Amino acid sequence: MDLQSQEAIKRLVEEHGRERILVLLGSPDPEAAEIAAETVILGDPTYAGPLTETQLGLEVYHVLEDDIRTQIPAEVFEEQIGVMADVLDAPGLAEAVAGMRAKAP
Amino acid sequence: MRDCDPFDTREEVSNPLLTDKLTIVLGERDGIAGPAIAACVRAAQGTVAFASTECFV
Repeated sequence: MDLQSQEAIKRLVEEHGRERILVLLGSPDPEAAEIAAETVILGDPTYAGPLTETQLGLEVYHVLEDDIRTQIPAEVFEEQIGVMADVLDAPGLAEAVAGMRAKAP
Repeated sequence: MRDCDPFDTREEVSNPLLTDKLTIVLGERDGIAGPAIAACVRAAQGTVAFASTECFV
């Protein structure tokens, strides 16, 4: 995750509190989704950014997970995400992010 | 036609994650871009606090 995003996440959590924040991912594969989820839950695994050793424990989902997808109007989801929902490995993405949620402190 | 679909239960969702929280959108160029996810959040009456599209090359 790039350093600017990590900095923004850290600032928003400090301003609003972790309970008010939801993170949505658009990662292309399960490995990338897992790393992004790990960064906002347990801290930056690359030890390169502001979230290094910062366990925010944020609530995080991939946008293709049913818990999120079902809350988006169908016509908007189709228009904005459309074919990517069929191209990407939605079950694998969901499993990767859910597995990391289970490790939240 | 969503309005005509008797099996569409989107209106009955009981866990409004998107409406109760501030959303941070972390899109990716090779996956789903940040603006597309942000548009979905706003359409669901959610609030986007930050959105980005990352690119790993």
